[in-house]
Amino acid sequence: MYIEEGSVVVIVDVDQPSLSKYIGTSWVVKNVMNVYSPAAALIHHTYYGDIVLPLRCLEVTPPKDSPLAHDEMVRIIKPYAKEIYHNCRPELVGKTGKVRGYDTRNNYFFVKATNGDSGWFPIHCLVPLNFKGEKFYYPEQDVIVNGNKVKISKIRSTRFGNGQLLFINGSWVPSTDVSQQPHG
Amino acid sequence: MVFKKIASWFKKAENSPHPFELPIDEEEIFKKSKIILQQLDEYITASEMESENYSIQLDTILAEEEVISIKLKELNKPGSWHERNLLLKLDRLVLHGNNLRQRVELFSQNIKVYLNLMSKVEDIRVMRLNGLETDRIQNIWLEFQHSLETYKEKIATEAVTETKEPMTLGVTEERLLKLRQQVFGLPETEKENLEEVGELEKQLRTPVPSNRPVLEKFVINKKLDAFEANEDECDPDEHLQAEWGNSVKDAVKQLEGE
Repeated sequence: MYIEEGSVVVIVDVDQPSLSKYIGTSWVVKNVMNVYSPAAALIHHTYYGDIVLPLRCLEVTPPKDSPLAHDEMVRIIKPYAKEIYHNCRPELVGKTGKVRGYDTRNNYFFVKATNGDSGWFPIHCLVPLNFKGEKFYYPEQDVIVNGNKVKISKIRSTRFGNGQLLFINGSWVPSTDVSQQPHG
Repeated sequence: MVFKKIASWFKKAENSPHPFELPIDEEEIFKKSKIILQQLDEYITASEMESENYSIQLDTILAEEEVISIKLKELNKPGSWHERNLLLKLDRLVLHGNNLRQRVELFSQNIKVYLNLMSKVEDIRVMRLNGLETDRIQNIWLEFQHSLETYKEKIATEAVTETKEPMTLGVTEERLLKLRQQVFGLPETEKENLEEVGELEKQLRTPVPSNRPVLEKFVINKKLDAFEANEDECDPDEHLQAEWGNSVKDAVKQLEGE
């Protein structure tokens, strides 16, 4: 998994028993040491201080304004064409799983399916299972606001998961204020 | 600005195909409540984001205020234009900070109202699932509408009464003086003696450049002529006026000498 300085990570495993109490807590990456064997990262926590852990023990969490959160249940709805950093695994389409990683270079999500398989997917291939709203919008999707056709730049889920906020023309717009573009 | 934004949200909600009104059909209530929940949730998140942005801005402004206060103390040039400029900047920052603080508080109030409304809608949904009587559900729905109306009226009233602070020169001077006293921490006892306070104000007030002796001389001459013209008609008791006349004459001589 790609990890860079400033990323927020969750400890999922430890190499020393004394650190096991930190499993499940969030840390900020201060430095990545790829020359180490195995590659490791120096991570910082406001209360616990600094520790060094192998990269395999860490999972990158999506940023705060991301539409999907770490450990959120999603369904993979479609495949995608080959991407510079990741290859699509079409056999995972239709399966459900949890978000267990995030790539800050291209905003892809690492999904671990319930059957144990895993793969990288962009947001437009995923749909959150706990979304309670009428319609889920995706970035780059065309919508109509006040009669004008506009493109969604970013999306963000709401506090209680009932809806979405859409970043359109430099401001966040509630999804109930936009309408979907008619097909054809 | 905030009131207008909130009012526009309500306007949008009213104009949208899913207005906040009492549906007749029971199924309709259930369906519509879902959309209202979504709208309220989106408004809450949007308000939280706006509030967070304003809070960050407010912190920056407070930090700037602190920096200017330190600069003012270091400058230590009472009554200078440099100090006045810094005080004016501090005054603007305080005004901006107060506006932001008010906005953050407003957003917090809105979020609370939205949360209450959401809880009422969720109550309706739960009751519907429990198979409760339609009358009771409709009562809650009416309560919801009443709260919403009260809130809308409150927002409308506040939007009307929202006024800008008068920016008269006297008010500005007073505010600058107060700011300066806050920065330098002048003791309150000094204010008790009015004469002393007057002197203090004179000292702290930024002087206006007065490089126009010709105009001053003209004004004094005019006053002198007026006085001399009325000198014969003066009462002997009015020695004060005579004294004033002498002082004016002295001033003219001094100016001519210069």
